[in-house]
Amino acid sequence: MRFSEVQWDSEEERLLFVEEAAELLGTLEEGALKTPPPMDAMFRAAHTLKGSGGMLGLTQWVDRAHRVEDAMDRRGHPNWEWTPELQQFVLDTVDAMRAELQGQNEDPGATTVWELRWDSTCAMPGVRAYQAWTAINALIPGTVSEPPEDALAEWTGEVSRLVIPSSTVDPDVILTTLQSIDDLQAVTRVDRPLQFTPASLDAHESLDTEEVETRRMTAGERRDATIRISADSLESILEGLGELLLDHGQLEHLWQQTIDPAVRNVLDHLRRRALDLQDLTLRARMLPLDTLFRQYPRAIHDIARKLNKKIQLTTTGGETELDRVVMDRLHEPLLHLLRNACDHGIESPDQRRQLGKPEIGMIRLTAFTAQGHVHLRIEDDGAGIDWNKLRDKAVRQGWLTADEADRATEDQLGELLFRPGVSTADKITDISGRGVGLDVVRAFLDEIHGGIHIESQTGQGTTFHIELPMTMAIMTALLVEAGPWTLGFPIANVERIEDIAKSGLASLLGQQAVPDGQAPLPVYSLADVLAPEVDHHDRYIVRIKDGRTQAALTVDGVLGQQEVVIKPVIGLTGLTPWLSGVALLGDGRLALMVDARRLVPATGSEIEASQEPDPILKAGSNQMELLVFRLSDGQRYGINVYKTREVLPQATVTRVPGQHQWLDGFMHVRGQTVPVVSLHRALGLKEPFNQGFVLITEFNQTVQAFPVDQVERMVRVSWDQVKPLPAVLEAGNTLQFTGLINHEELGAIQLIDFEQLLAQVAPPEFPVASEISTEDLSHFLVWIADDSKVARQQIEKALKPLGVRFKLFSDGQELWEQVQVADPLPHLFIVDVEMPRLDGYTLAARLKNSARSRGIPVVLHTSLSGHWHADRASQLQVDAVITKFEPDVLASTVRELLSRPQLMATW
Amino acid sequence: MKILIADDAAFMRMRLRKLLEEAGHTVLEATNGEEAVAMYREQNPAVVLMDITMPEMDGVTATRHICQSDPKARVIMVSALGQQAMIVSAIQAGAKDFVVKPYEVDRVLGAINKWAQ
Amino acid sequence: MESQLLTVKIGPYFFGAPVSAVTEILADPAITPIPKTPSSIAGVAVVRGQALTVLTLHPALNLPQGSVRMALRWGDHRGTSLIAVDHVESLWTPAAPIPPERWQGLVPAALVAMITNAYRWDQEWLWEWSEDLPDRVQATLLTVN
Repeated sequence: MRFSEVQWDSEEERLLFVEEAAELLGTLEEGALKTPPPMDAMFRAAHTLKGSGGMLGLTQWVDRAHRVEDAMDRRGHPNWEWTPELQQFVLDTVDAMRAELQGQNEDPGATTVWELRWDSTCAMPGVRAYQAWTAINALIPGTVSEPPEDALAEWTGEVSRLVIPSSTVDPDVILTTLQSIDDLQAVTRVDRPLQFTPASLDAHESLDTEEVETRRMTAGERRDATIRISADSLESILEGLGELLLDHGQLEHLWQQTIDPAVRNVLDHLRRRALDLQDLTLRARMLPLDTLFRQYPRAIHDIARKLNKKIQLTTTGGETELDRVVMDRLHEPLLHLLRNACDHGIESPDQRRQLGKPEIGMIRLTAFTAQGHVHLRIEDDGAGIDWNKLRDKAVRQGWLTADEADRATEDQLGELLFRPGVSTADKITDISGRGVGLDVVRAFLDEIHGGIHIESQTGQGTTFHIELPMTMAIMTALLVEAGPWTLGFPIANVERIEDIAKSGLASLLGQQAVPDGQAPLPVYSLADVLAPEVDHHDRYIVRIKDGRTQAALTVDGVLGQQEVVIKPVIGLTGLTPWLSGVALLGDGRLALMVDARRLVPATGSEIEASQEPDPILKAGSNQMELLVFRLSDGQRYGINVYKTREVLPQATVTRVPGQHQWLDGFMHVRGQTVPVVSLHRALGLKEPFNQGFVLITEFNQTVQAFPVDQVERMVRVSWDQVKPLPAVLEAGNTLQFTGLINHEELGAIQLIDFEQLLAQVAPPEFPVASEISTEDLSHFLVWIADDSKVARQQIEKALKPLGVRFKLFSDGQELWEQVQVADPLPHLFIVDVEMPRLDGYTLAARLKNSARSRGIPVVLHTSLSGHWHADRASQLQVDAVITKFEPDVLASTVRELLSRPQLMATW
Repeated sequence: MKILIADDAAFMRMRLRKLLEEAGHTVLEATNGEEAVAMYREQNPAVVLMDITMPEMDGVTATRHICQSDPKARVIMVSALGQQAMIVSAIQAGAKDFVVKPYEVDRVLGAINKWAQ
Repeated sequence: MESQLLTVKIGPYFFGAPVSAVTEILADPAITPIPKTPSSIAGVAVVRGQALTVLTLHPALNLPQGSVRMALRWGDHRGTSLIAVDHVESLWTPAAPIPPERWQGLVPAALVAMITNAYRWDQEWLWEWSEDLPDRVQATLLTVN
C-alpha cells in the first residue's frame, strides 16, 4: 500500500505524519552529508520512519526504511564502512520516500498490524500502550508501536497499534500476552487493506506556521513539547501585548503627578510583566538560521554533482536567530549566492589540483551578530574575482575611463557587480541565472534595510558579506523631536547627544560640521532633510553611527530612551526607504523610526580610506552612464543608469482598463505595487514581440516599470556627445527624446525623456496661488535651463504665482554663454541636471567658479533620486537641490533664496 | 504476602496498610526512596507499591535500583494523574504496572495478585 | 453587481465602495503625516495595533485636504489600507450602470483607473470604486508633492 492511497481519519493526522516524516527524512539527509555521519541519529530516524510507515501499512515505505536501517547497522559487521556509495544510497532512499509522500509510487512487503483499543476511562493509556509494546517486543523483537514507543509518554489516545514483524510466534500467544495488560478493551488484527483514495498533497509547508520548540533531548528520554501556532495567532498576541503596554503608558501619563507609591509599584510590575511577555512572544518570531541552513548542504551536494565538481559546505552560527519574516525572504538570495559560488567560484577538481588546492572546494556559510545586526558570510576558496580583468571589462564596456579604472579600489570595483542590468548584460549560465542577479539581491537587502558587499582575492576566493537587521519588532529607541515630527533611532546606533551650544558646531565654509577627532563630521538638520520648509528650532546634536554611515543630526528636542514596538507600515513599501517603521508611544503619538543610512547623504567616511571621490560619481565631469536597451523596432534606446533600480526578466502585469493609454497596468515587485508604462505606445511602436525584460526605474521619488524587448549593456557617454533632435520634430507632440548619441560601437542610441513621458501620463499638481505669500518679487530675474519643453512649462507655472521674471534656456551651454556677456545678470539660476552639451553639474561648477556668477544662488533641479547622486551634489556648492517635480517646494525655495539679505543689499 | 509500601505521606501509607491488611497481606512501610531500596534488600517483599514523588530519592530512581539488583522484583507504581511520562520511565526502569490515585481497592489488589505469581 | 455599495462623499463628489471590500468605518482617525511621501498618502494611522497607510483621493480630485474626517478600512488583515472620505452616506444596491463609453472619455485618466462603473443616483453621479482601489491608487502615484 502506498501513501497516496491512505484514507485519513483527519487532515490533522495526515499533516502530522507528513511533518514528522519530513523531519526524519531531513535528519537522514543531513546526517548523510556530514563527516563523520551521526550513525546513531540516522539509525533512529530510519527506525522511526519504518515504524510510522508501518502503522499506516505503507509496505514499500517500510521496506525501504528497513533496508536503509540494515545498511547502517554496524552490529555484527566488523568490516563496516561509511562509503560514498552508502551515502548516495541513503540520499536516494530519502528521495524515493519523499517522492512517495508527493504521490509517486511503487510496490509492497510483510508485517501484521494489531490494533489495541484502550478503555476510555483509563487515565494513562500511554503507559498501557507502552506496557503492551514492551511485552510483545520481548516476544518478537522489532515490533514497532504506533504511536512510536518514545512518544507514548505523552500519548493519551484510545487506539494504538503494534506492527509486528512476521515470526513463528503463535498469534494466540500474542493475544494472551496482550490481554494481561489492564484497561485493554479490544484487540483486533488488522488484516484487510484500507480503502483507496488519492490524497491531495501540498508538499509546501513553508514558514506559514510557527513552531515553538524546546531543545531536543537524547534518545531514551522524553520527546520534546512542540506546539504549532499559526503566525496570525502570534501576531494577535503581540498586538494584544502592545496594546497592554499602551494602556499602561496611558495610565502613567494620566497619573503622572498624583501617583501613590503603592500604585506606582503595581504599574511598574504590570509594565515589566507585559514587556517580558512581549519579549517571549517576539522571541517566538525569531527562528534560528539553521532553519534555512539545513537545506543547503543537500542543495550544494546536488549542484556539485551536476557540475562535476567536489564541493563541501560548512555552516557555523546556525543557532543565530533572525526574525522569521526576514528569513523567509532571505532564502532565495542566499541560495543564489551559494549557486554563484559553486558555479563561478569553485574550480573543477582538475584545475584545483593543478593550482595546488585541495580537490574538494570549500564553501563556508557563517552567521553571527554584531552591533545590532546579524551578519552572514559566504566564503569560498575558489577562483576569486580577477580584479584586473574586471578593470579591463569596465573600460571596455564604457563604465569607467582607463584612468578611473586604474585608480578604482577593489571596493569600488566590487560595487560594479551589483549594478542593475549587469547580470542580464552578461551571459549567465543556467545555474546562476534565472533573473536573480546580484542587483536583485542588493535591491532586496536595501528594502529590508540590510546591506551586502563583496571581498575577494584573485585566485584565492571570494567572500560575500551580508548585514541584516536583527529584529524588526522591538528595540530601545532614542526619541527626538524635529519640526512637527517625533522620530526615533535605534539606541545601538546613537553615539552621542550634545547641546548645540557645547558641540563645537561651526561652518566649514558653508557646510555645518562638528569635530570628530581631527576630522569634520557634517551636520544636517533633521527637520530640513525631511521637509525643507518646515518650522524648527535646533537645540541638540545627535551623532549616529549605523554600519558605515556616520552622521550628525540637529533636532529640536530629545525625549529620551524608550522601549518601543516597531510596526511596519502596511502599504508604504518602497516609497519611504528611510522609514523603517512606526512606534506607538504612550501618549498616543506615533514616532517615525529612521534608518539613518537612507536619509543622510553619503558622507566622506563611507568611502573608505581614500579622499578621492568615487571616480564613477565624480561630479562636473559631464559624463553619465546609459543602460542601452532595444524596443520592438530594433532600435537602441538609452536610460540613465542612476534611475534604473533593477532589470527583471519578465512581468506579470495586471491590466487596468480605462486609464491613460500608455499605462499597461501594474505589477507587484516584492510586495510593492508598481505602475507599468508602455514605452512602445508612447513612442508609437509595435507591441513587444516576446516576453523581454522590464526596467524598474525611479523617477520623481516614485517607482515605475517599463517593459523593453532586449537589454544590451551599459555605456559611458559624455553629455557633449548628445545631439539635440532636429527642430522639425519639435512640432509634433511626440517630443519624447532628450537627444541622440552616435556611439562608436553601438551606433545610434536615442535618449528617452522619461520625465516628459511620465508628465504626460500623470501631470503634477500645482500649488494654488493663494498658498504663496504676496511678497512682491517682480523685480527679481530668474534664469532657467532645462532641455525639456514640458519641464520648462512646469517650472514657469510653478513660479508664476511668485511674480518673478524668467528667462528660459533649452540647454546649459546656451545659458553659460549668456552668463559671460549678459547684463544685468539674474538673481537666481535654476538648472536641470540632464541636458545636452553641458550638464547641470558641470554648469553649476562653472557658475560657482566664475567670478561673475559666483554670488548668484544656484538651484539644481533634478529627477535623479536615490542617494547615489546626493554624493555628487554635495561636492558642489549649489544652494539647493530640488527633486522633480515638486512645484510648491520649488516655489518656496526660490522665494527663500531670493529673500536672502545679501541679495537685497546688492540689488 | 509481604508487601512494601513506599510513600512520604503518612496518611496514604495508613490507607494502603488498612486495605492490604484487610486482604490478608503483611505490610512494610518506607517513607522515601532510599528507605525503600534498603528495606527491599533486607526484607525481600513479594511486591512493592512505590509512590513516584518522594524526598531523598524519587520512586523512579528507587525502582531502578531495586530492579537492577533484583531483576525479578515486582514493583507497582502508584501515581497521580498527569505523571504518564514518569510512569513510562518507571516501566523502562523495571516497574511492572501502575495504579492511579485515587485508587480503587479492586485495582490495587488485582495488580498485586496478577504480578505476585 | 450582486454586492451593495457603501456610498460616500468626498468634496462634492459621490463614490460607491463595494461593501465586500470595506471592513470598517473609522471616524476621526488620528493620522500622523509622513514627510517625503506623495500627496495621495495622508499619513499613517494605527488601528488596533496595526500601522496602516492612509490614502487620500483629494489631491487627485483637486480638492484641498483639510483634516481626514472619516476613513474606510479597505481590504482584510494583511495588505490593508485606509481610504479617507469626508462623509459616509448609505448602502445602495446599484442598478442601471451607465455604459462606459459615455463617461470614460470625460473623466480624468488617473481616476478612470479606479472606477469600474458609473451610475445616476438620486440626482447625482455616483462612481463605483474597483475592489482593489488601494492598489490602483498606488499604481498611479507617478509624482510626489
